[in-house]
Amino acid sequence: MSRQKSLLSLSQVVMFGLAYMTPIIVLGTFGVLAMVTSGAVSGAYAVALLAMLFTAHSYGRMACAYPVAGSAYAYVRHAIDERLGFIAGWAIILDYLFLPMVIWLIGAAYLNSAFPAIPVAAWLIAFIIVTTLINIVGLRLASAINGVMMLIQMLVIVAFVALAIRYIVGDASQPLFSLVPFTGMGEASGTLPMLMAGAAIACYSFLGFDAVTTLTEETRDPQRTLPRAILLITLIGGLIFVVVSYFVQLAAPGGVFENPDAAAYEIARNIGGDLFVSIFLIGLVVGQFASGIAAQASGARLLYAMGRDGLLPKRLLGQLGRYGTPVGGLVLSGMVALLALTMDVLSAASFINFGAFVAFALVNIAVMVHYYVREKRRGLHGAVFFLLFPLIGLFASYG
Amino acid sequence: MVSLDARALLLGGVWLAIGMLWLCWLTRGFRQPMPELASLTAAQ
Repeated sequence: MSRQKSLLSLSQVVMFGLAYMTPIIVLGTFGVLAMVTSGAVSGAYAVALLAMLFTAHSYGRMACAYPVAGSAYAYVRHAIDERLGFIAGWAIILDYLFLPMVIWLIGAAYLNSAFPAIPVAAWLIAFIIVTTLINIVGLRLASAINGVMMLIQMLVIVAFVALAIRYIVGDASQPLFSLVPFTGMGEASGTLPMLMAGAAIACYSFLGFDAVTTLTEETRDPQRTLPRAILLITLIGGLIFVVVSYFVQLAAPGGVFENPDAAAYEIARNIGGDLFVSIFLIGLVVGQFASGIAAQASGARLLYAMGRDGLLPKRLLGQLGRYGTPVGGLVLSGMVALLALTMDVLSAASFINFGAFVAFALVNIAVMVHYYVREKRRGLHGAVFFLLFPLIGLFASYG
Repeated sequence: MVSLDARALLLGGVWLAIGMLWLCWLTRGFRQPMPELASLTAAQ
């Protein structure tokens, strides 16, 4: 890589991470989370945010100890053992294969709500084919276009929240401040297992901090910048999730929707009318489409890197195609996404979370092994940051 | 993780098991070192 290339600053890395998280997904998956938590989506995001802060801290510490681009694989490999590192990488592959699938599945569910004549399967196959072709040809969206897409997303989110507030204020029986979005409704309301189940699903929304560690070599002063960026991304992204879901949950209490995979479509119509539904749909599909391209491309790059070094079948995955793109990995991820024809958003997201938790748990262990055991950082400061925090992160990944 | 539904845990477990088998094959039954993912682990 050219050293002359201008290096990324803290704010640029944070923007990359937030864009990778695709904040509008909080609206996209609202119905699924509301269903699982009986209407405590904000509570689920708050629990997820709290849990993720500890793992984010661990990622930051490892990015500081090993400023290399390999993320969980490299951290675990260096700090603990190369075979365990491979398992961390293998778990992350699961994420990168299923993430594009979930993104396309969400888009397909919403487009099917808008155009019921066209089945989900048709949208899904269209997303898979178009996105895979774009990535094979290697069409890069200019960063200006990416910026515009992020802006559209944020405007739609702000409009959604504003309309939700107007809707709540218009209903005299509804207070604007309430704990119900955090505790849920019905018999099981406020119980920890239910919030944990919701948080477990919400966790994949935080994968942006894993993605930014792949920017290590393009970042200015990565050992200082990355740990801060990782914490900021988790905090800002998490707060957006909590606040947005709070107002949406107040405007649409409970967890019963006609079509949970596309519940925000129904909510958008209730709070904003037919015109707003169209605007919301455009914002969601634009954001979702862009993040599908990015997720598939980064997954294929990981498969290519592992294939080239002989960790995966070299002939299938370790070679670049005519356009200099990792065709094998792209086609593989497109084929895996076909599994979505038999899946809903909830089960597909669960696989991502499984892979994420395995990797998160190993990274937390890596922090303890590297700092506490090997470097013997065992004062009060060390005990808190290199033993207690990773243990909480580990426990949260397990729970 | 244990809060995930049973099917995800089962299929995730199967995925990890496949990973272990593949690892076993790569290292010829854990007797040889692993190929290194040089591009991702090279130091700055």
